[in-house]
Amino acid sequence: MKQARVFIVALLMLVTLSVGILSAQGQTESARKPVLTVWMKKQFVENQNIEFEKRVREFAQNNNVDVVIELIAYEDFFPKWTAAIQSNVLPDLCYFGYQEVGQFYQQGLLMDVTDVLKNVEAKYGKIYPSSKAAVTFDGKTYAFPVWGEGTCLYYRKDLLSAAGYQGPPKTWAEFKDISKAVTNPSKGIYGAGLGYGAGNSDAEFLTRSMMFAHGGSIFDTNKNLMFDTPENRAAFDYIISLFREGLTPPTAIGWNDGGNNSAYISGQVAMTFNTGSIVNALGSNPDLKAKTGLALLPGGPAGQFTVGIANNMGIFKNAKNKDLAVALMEYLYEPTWYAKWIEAGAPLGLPVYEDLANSPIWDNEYFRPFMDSMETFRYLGYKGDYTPNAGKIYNMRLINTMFESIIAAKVPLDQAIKTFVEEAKELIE
Amino acid sequence: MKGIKTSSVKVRFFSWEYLPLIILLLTTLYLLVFQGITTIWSLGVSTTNKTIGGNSKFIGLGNYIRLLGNGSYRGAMWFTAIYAFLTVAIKLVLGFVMAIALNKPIRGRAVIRALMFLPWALPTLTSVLSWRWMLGDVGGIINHLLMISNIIDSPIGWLGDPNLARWSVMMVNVWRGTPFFGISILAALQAIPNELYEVGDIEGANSFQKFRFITLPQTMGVVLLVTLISTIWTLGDFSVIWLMTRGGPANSTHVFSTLSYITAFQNLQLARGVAISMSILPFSIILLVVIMKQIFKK
Amino acid sequence: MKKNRNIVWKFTIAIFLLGTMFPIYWMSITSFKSFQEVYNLIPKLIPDQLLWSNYVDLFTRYSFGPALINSIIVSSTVAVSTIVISLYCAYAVSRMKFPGKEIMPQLFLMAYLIPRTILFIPIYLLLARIGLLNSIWGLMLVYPTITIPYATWVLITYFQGTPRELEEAAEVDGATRRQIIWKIIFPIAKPSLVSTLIFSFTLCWSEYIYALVVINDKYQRTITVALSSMLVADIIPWGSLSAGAVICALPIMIVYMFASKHIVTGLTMGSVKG
Repeated sequence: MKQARVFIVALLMLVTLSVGILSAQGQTESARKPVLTVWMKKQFVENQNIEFEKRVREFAQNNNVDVVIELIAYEDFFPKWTAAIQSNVLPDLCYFGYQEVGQFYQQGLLMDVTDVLKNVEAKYGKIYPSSKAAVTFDGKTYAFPVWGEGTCLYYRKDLLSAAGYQGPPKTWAEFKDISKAVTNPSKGIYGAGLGYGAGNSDAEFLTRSMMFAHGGSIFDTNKNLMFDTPENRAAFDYIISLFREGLTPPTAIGWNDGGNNSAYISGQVAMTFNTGSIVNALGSNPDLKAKTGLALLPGGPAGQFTVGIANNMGIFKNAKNKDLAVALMEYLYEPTWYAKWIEAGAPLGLPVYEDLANSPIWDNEYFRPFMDSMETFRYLGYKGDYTPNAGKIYNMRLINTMFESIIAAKVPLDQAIKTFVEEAKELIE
Repeated sequence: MKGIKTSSVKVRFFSWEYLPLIILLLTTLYLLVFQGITTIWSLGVSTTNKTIGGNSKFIGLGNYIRLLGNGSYRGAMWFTAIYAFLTVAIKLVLGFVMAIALNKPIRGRAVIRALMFLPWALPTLTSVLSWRWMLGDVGGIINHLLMISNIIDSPIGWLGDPNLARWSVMMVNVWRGTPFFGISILAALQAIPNELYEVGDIEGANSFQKFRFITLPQTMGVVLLVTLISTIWTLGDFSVIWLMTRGGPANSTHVFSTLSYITAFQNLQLARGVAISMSILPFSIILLVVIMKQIFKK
Repeated sequence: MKKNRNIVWKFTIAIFLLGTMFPIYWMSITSFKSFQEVYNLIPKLIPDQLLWSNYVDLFTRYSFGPALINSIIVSSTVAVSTIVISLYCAYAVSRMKFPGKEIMPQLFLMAYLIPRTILFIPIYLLLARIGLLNSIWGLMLVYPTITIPYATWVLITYFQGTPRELEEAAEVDGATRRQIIWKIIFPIAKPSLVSTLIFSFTLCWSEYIYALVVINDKYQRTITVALSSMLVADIIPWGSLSAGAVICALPIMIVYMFASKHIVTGLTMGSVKG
């Protein structure tokens, strides 16, 4: 009896499996309507996800197509892109960070959307040149800028004023002075909420902002590596001193992207740097929100810089439904819907239409600085354009590694710089 | 044996007698399709200069030769070896102890076994991220407990110091992997006929002798097998290190799999990334052959 | 003497329990904490109050329900078929004579040699060919490559250690092979089968990379992908993430406790000897 039962179960499973295989094949063959596949980055603010999905479904209904929408967390994109590209089973409209746009452009995978974008601008309004610049190579644009993300200085008004400072630091030198004044290890409070860790992309960006402010950079205007310069060294000395003088939390080496946020939200640090996600998260902590001030990143001898984040949608050259994807993108660009969608996620996401910068929603002490930071945007390839090489150095977290080895492993600066240059050259083809 | 009816064996083209062989054959075929083809694909790719989305050209062992000259690769090689060797050794010892302990007649055994099995059963993402958080200083419970019991007076950066970070990722791997050893060995322990121990008692063997001459040989097959599989899995372990340290600090915890992931999927150098992962192959094949011989010897 | 030794073992178990359970305890209480409590500088070992909102979020905002059902379907189907297939394979290897007997089972383990972080690409290419992308059927087709080699080998080592007298006696009585497998070997091998079943179930339950690349539809997702899709920005929703972990742990607990009974009965049947 028992054997019969087990056998029947096994048989049933085999049958269901084969039926599944057949029906799955049947589906793909019998489908008459085109299926539009959309891969979008999952947003921190849930309303944005819901609205996006609604909008795409609306488009599908109007155009009588089926649609598969997937909202994907950023880190999950990499294996998915790889598998899709290698098998040529591609999404039609797909999210890309600007680094990926650069990389995939270099591989010749992306469709040139310069003309589409021109139409969009003629129809709906001007798009920030800095947003387009991030995805433009040799005069052609390879993705649609959809939203930007700015980074600002978060500071605790109460702690700063208790130490005698009425406003946020305007320069990095001032930032250090204030950090010194508010750091109080016995209470577990530290001034400078910055840290390093291989899982810390914030630090990769922030360090570059600091280097740029000191007049340094990783690349020169001709996109060549230019690392061991007096300007960079000035920035490095400055950063190292923040750690050596105990102005950062003791475990700031080893932070991942969430490290500075937890530190700020829990009250461990008086100042930190982040995108708008902390503002969004502070919604559930009105007390801390009231004590929080926001400002542009401090400046340096060379000026004020923010390493910007540009988020885009693009179309693979080999995608099946390119025309539909273009039509969908135009539908998403429609300003009334777009403005509502962007505002749902403010201040984390910044609009790409110049007109929307003047929308009243941004007249808010928590939002304005993010909008203003767009003026100071530079990208990973600075002082040249973005190149895939700049992206590789970022992906390998060479900057983080360098500071970790100096601060945690006590490697001398000269040697750490040498290692950086060697590793970077190894990555650059 | 009442249920078994005697029946005359008929000579037929298909006989149930051969069902096990047929299933074995089909399974081997299935594995060959899914693993053989994919393995050949991987080996093939690693001898080219393929990038993701790009064309490929055969370059022989070029990737491997170039990798040997790379500092990060050599660092990852060392830590992969240390990571796999140490964690498997610790997991084996702890797993054995765990299995023996769980085999004792203790009240609530079923619940205790189920609980101890959990670390291996939980999705890595959540358990590893939780470990990360527990080791931190903001709301980090481990630092907090050490501090209120006056063992340390300021939080330790477990993941900020290269050596501490290495031990931390190994600890999490051991925490997660021990139940795999424990529960497998437990199943083997339970298969040992009680008569063997009774004979041992009669002959006046002490517990160490019983362990040495009954328990160990009776479970050796499973122990070898589990060690082999765990070693292979640990050599390719990705998620624990990726989620804990992403290879940091200062590259101290990079292993082949994390380095390969960044190279292949983030930097798009597919062939080189695959080559990094493939370079453990000679070692694991040797290990496989040696251990298989041992298992077959029995 | 005997009592002392028992205390030693109890103490050992207590230590093991503490080590394994503390992180799990931490996750469980986190799942009941509010955002503010989670992000407190000083952690609390006992939460102020038990909030269910994280669980509500999990099933509404993160649509964890379909993922849970998908995972249960995939894992149990694969686990059960793995056991049946592996039982036959292991039997063939350890009890039947055929050419290539020494090599074939070794080929099985070759399947593990290349890490999945690389293998997912060719696997994806294969599934794209067959047309099984974006469905849990595709996963069911692929997961046995992870479970069968392990399960078969555990059973092989097990069969090699068990005496053959019973089977030989049955053969003399004229029992067919099918009868021998299901009436004699199956009951004796039960403890081993059950533990392999649980391992196979768990291997599928916590698989991540194949599930991530193969599935594109949020209603076809499995739990691991649903969990990782919660990590959308640099602020981790610890509450819901932990709630997800607790929910994921429950089925395993239930399966294991249910199976534990069989492990024990299997033991007595094995030692009673026909």
